[in-house]
Amino acid sequence: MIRPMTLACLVLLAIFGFGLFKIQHEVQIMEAELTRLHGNILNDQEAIHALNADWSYLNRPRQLQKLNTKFLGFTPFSAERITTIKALPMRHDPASSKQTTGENKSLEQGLTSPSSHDVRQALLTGDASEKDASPASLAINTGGAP
Amino acid sequence: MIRQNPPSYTKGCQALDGITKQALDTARNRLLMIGALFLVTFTVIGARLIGLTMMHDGHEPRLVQATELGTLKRERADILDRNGILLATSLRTHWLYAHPQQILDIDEAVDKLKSVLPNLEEKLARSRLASDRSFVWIYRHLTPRQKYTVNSLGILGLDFQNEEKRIYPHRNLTAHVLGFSGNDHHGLAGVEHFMNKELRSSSEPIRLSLDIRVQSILHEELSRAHQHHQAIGSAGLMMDARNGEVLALVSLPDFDPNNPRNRDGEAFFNRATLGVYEMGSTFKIFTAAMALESGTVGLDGGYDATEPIGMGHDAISDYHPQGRWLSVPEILIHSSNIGAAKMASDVGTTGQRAFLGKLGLLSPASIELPEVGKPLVPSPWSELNTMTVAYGHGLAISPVQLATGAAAMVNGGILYPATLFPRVPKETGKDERPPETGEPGSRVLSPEISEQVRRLMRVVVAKGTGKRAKVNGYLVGGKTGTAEKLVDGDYSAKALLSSFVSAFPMTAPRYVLFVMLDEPKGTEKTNGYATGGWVAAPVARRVISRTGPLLGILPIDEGAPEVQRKMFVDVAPRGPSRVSY
Repeated sequence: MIRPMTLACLVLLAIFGFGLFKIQHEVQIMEAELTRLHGNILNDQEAIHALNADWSYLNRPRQLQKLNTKFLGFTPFSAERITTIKALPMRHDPASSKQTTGENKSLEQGLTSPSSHDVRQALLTGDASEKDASPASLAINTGGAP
Repeated sequence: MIRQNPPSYTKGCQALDGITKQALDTARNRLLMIGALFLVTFTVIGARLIGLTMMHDGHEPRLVQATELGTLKRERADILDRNGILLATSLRTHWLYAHPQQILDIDEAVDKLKSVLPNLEEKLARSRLASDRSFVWIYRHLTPRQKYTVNSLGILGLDFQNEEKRIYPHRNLTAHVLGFSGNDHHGLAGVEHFMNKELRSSSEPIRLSLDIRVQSILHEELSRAHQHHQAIGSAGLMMDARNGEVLALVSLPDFDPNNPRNRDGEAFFNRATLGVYEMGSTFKIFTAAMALESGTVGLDGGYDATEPIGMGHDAISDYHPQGRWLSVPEILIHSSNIGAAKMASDVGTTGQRAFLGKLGLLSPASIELPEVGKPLVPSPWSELNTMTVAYGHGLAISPVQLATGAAAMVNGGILYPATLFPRVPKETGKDERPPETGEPGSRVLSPEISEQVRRLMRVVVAKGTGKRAKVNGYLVGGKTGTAEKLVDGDYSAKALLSSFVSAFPMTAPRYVLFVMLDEPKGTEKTNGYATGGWVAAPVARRVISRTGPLLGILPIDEGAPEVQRKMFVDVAPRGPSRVSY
């Protein structure tokens, strides 16, 4: 006669046994999948490696230059076209110019020739009047007050 | 167990006699002890179980570790340029082999293979397949696509073996720096040979100080001059004046390292590091620096260059004779051999030897290449040698040595041995370090004299033989060199070695560029001249004007009073009264 306790144990054993088998089976499947994925990753790495070499080959500076001449026509720029922000004439701020006009003027005069300074000043001052100002009036307006 | 103890135990104890009772007591005690032992044991096991599952690593052992992703193992590591551009790598290719016995129809097989492998040598393949060996190679280095098409032909008896092939995507461009490696994955020349151990042991890529953009520009411009002047060879290199890093190194003629054939040929000779040459007048910078440093003459002094110096049956004369007293700047501007010889003669043989030794011109360069030339040093070093070495004859050195020395002349006086590997981390490499800081080099010149040498080199380009190297905004300074080559034991005016060593920008030199052409021929464009000023200086001009913006050098306004003051040299001769004999 099988006692209930023994029966319970046997049932549990069967359940756990089946569970263990099931999990192990799943793990096996997953491991196979993992191996496959690793293989794929290695293949991809290999491909990336080859493509990198290809990329480097296609980007030979000489080759790029050839393509540029053919399709873009860019030319090297000369040293004259490079400068610093500092070396550029300062932008004139109309709002603050009331107080600092004198200062700005002396600063800017050091950087630009007087004539270009005047025209620039004229162009920068008073954006309200700019719309209806004719080129002639711009030339007369020699800066200072907006 | 407890159940087995009859519940009537206490009731029936009266019926039991003493002996039975005693035995039962003993049994009960033992039972209790065993029970306690089991209790303790199970408690310990239980506690341990809880501890292991909950407190410790409760999870399963990590399977990821067990089947870790393998990395691609390569025979050789990659080589990169300073910006990480791939210069050399190993790619997997497939070698095709066959088991001849299994091939059913040889003609059909060869025809089919030929249709997908156009370079297949039919005759050879046919004879190999017809042989009675069990294994024959058919084709080397198939691409993955070729392998696929061969497979799809469905020929029985063919198989593949994986092999690695070294690929140099930039081909000839990097030939003399990288060298090449053989089919057995051993480096046979260049960095590939020098760094063979490192490249094979680690998969970490090696980064060079080379800048492929600069290399390409130098290669292109040098090739143009090389062809235009039909030189037998050319060399060029650009170097960071502040730490000795080589940004570009070119030697022509060159070869395709992907397919190095005829390995003893002229193309495999690295003129930039292995070749040693009598450099000629470029040496006058060293002579001037040496004389100024030793104090035998000042920047305002000079020498009489009226008469050639007679030495036995030889005479030291000038290429552009001025026939008068020349100031030190004039000696460089007109490249006067007489002046330079007298300058060196005043310093003396010992002083000259020590100075050139400090500059590393008397021992092989330390650059990381197996192809390093040993300088040809005069022995014994006579008074005549002292005079000829002053203008670059009698002592043969390699271009890389000359550039290294020139860098020390202009960078504030510190010698940094040339290197092909970055000396400073990239992040800090771009800052505006003053020339005196940075890598530990050795001081060979005082900063003041270096400053004077900079002025002298600038004036040579501004007013002298180096005019054709002028580039607006980059304040080039330099010195031309035109050496007559020894042909059958005699110096020949026909076979010249024309060179130009330059640095820019001269206010605070960042880069040193050396260009050299071996036996260039004069052309109509150069009025028949093949001197350094005519053939090498224009190459320097084009290279500097193209690389300057690339290297992020801020153009300098040459007209600015501050720059003019910095570069000022009093050229005007003051006459023989000031001769410092």
